[in-house]
Amino acid sequence: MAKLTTTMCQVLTKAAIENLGQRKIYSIVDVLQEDPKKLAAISKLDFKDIVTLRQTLLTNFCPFPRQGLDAYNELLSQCSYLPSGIESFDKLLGGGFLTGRVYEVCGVSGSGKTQLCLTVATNVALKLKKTVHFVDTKLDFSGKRVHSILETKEPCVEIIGSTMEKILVTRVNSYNELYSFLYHLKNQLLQEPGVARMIIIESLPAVFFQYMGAHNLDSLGLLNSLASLIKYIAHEHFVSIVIVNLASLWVEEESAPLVHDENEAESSVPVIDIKPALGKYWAHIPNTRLYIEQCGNSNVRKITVMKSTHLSLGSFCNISVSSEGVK
Amino acid sequence: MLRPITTLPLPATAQLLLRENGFLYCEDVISHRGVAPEACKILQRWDLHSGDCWNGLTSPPPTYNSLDLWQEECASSSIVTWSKDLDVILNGGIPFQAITELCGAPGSGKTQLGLQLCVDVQIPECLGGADGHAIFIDTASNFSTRRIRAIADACCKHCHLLSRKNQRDLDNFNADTVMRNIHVISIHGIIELLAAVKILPQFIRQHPQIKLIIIDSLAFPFTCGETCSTIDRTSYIYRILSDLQILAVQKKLAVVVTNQLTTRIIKPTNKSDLAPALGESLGHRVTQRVLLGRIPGNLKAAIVLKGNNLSISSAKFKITEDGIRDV
Repeated sequence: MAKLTTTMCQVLTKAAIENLGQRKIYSIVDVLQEDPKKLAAISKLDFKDIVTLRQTLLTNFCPFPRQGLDAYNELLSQCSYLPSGIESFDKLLGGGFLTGRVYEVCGVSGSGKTQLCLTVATNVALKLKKTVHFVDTKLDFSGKRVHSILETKEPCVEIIGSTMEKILVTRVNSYNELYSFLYHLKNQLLQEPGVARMIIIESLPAVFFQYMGAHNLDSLGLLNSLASLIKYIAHEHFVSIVIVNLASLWVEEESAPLVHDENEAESSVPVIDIKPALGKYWAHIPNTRLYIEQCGNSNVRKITVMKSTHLSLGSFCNISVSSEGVK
Repeated sequence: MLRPITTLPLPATAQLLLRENGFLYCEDVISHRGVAPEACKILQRWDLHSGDCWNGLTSPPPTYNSLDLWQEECASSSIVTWSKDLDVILNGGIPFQAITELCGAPGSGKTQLGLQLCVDVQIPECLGGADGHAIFIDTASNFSTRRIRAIADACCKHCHLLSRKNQRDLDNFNADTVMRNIHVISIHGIIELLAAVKILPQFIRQHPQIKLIIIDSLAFPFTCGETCSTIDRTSYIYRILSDLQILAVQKKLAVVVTNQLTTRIIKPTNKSDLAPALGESLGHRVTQRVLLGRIPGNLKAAIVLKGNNLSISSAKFKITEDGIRDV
């Protein structure tokens, strides 16, 4: 809790909190930033008590430093690859989706982003028997499609049924609902760790574009809150998060500042004239950004690594979209 | 990790007041002891001071497993287009609980198909129809009562023939009632369009039988001279579609929007081609996209450009005095 309460420290009395509140000092951060002498004067507490208060707050709310080796060992014991079940795609990813990472799949409309996500969700649920959360923001989830993908892989009706029960779909209509869902899931993960290993958000721009525009200045703040929650879930609970983003081939000049073109500076990446949506700020959030595109008029799709912390940039693989899903 | 107040769907003034009084996080406002008394005082003005109300704001949307969704999808029907070939490529017609975009050049039959759907949605339940009403949001003064009359006459005639075979009574189903059950909303300009969409929930509460919402055309208000930057335009369109999506899911109705084609210039080569208007972002947002076009012999063709269960396929149809028919 960020607001000061009497339970935080013994010396903090109700009267002292009220006194501080009159001078707009409400939260722990406010207390820590203020000069202790001034605090003593405002709150009418002893200077000694203020020092105790600072010390208590610091010890209670400060994260502990950890040794690199401990962090590494914990990472090794907790992290794992979740294979997508698509051979060439797994090879590109170095084994599969790494837990604790945020992935982004971007592409123009109709390039197969949804199909890829549905296939990955099905494979993770079928082969790894893990629960997959599918957050559907634009009515893209199709039970029929998942069923038909499963039918080509698994003859047994009961296994199909139990696999489909592992794919949990949440339809969200707004940013607030998306945040509520993730926040609730975070609390759930605290109580029962491992309740989810993969979250697919399909897609982020669908709930976000309505907050963009000249008169909506808080859009970055909202994106920021969401990004930190996503990072927190991925990192603290070892969940892989896949976020679908839109890419655009044509950009009118007005929208240019919000759209990001990172490829021009980097010569190692083949120059593709595409602009993933959600702007420069968002480009820093995913650990790995994958670009999916259609090759000609065929069923073949090419997936290229556009940005990554652990994969080589510009590497690519080809997959094909068919009635059996993605291969 | 605490939940910032800004991620709640609260009025801006309420957020500001809460922030000024030191409430930055949800956990500050509500604890196991209920809503904090100071916050209660602030929230009283918006009638949000009860704990239940607050829980409603923060609670996540419901999660379903994909098996249930699949069963629900299998049970739901769609609106027939009266052309068998077109129905086949659309998997039975225009689906409920989805947003369908019809795009095409002038004279490709977008409005005609829209009018046909307004009539088809009213086919009585005993003949396998949806027995619903329609809302036609007319942005470009395209709605033609003469055409509706002709289509309705033909449809009623056909249904009466069918019902006589089945010995069913269809006295109430005639061209007059069909026309009475189509609610036309004529709008001019972007602001009226946004307002019309905002009052739809109220309108549908008064007319619970509505099963179809058509916007013909979605692109027109944005192209007819009102200045509006690209990013604002995207934000407006996403707001409209987001509101329509909530209705589509809650009331289980079908949403159809029509769109024009525009010339797109591909940057590096300066080549041009025809693409649906309103940018890539619209194609991303809709559930399925159908391209209509004219072909020699006074026929029309439809191609599915996007759809989860639909592969890219095409069909021919023609427009007669009686409406959409097979070739």
